[in-house]
Amino acid sequence: MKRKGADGVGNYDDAFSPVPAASSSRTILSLANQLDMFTDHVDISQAFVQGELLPGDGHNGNVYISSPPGYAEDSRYTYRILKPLYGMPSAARAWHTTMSAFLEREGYETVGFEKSMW
Amino acid sequence: MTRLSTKSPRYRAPSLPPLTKSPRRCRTPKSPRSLVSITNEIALSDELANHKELAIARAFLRHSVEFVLPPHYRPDVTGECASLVLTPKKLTKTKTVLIVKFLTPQSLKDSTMQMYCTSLEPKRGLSQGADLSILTAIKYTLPQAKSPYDIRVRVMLDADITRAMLADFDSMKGGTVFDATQVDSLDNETSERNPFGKGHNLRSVRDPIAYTRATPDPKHHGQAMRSPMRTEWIKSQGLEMPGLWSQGVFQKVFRTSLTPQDRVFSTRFRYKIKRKGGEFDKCKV
Repeated sequence: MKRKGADGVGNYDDAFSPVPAASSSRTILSLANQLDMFTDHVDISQAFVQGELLPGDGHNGNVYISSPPGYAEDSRYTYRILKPLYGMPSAARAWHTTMSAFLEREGYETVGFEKSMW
Repeated sequence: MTRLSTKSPRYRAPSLPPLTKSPRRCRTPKSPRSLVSITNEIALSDELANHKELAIARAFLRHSVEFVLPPHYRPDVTGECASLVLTPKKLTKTKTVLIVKFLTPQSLKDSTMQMYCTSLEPKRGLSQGADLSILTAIKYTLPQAKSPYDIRVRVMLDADITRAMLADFDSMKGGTVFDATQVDSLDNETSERNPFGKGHNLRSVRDPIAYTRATPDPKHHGQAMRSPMRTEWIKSQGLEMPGLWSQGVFQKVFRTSLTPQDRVFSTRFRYKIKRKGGEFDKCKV
């Protein structure tokens, strides 16, 4: 475990991202079956990098990274991250925040106490 | 996928000669290839008689070479007996053996035999042990063959995997057994890679070089680059970064523009072999 903001990538206390309970998912499937409804699933490719960085990420909201081994880059340069990247502690939460904001704008509401079920 | 490390930051601020005794399934390559060197030691136009069998075996790497075996080597088999050189294998520091896999006849399909260099050829009779000298096999299959080109060895592409494989072959010392199945493939980099048609593919066409079901995921870049599948990994790496750039994930900044409070985190690629239903799908970085 690392203390809060220990590595400067982000605040670990704010890295939580809700996941639906298994019972909630089973309830949805049961309802769909009972009401003879159609169920489908989608996979959003590169989902995390489509989110927005959280305000607490990095120093003053700036996160810098070096290029990974195997990707040659001029040593004078470094990269500033503009989108959450896989591996960042807050990447999952950033995606959840972005997706939730989108669904809210579209008029969806959360189901009961499940914060990731709409 | 690029992964951000949470560790301490590392930084701050020509036409083909006809085969007079060609087995019926041999195909003539569609386009002639130039006669250029295949290895440092042996060229396609070189005289076979001027080279040691080890050098000839080296030239066989990544090529499907079809031999017609003398009938006394397999008295139990009637009719034509063709085999495909599959893997060269180092036995000792100075002795190499080619593991030959039979494609025909059906009764011998997938069975193997060893093809020795002269030094290891059985001394008591030609068929003793059913092993065969490389030069003997060449002489029996194509008596007129004088060069590697005549025995259907073709130019190897100057690929990373080829260089790595030749380096492995050249570094066979200290009793290390060289298993070319880990780096070789009949599906890649040779014009003669599949002389028998699709029905006789020994590997799935989707499998990359050296892929086996037991191939583990590389843990880091160095391991991926030392892996026989390094070309696949390099290819995937080349796709991943442009993908992230197109998503607007990064912005290039000068290191000199960073403040002392800014920290630069090291990143690394994550390497994952994706499978579908147990079959190879892709190398994902």
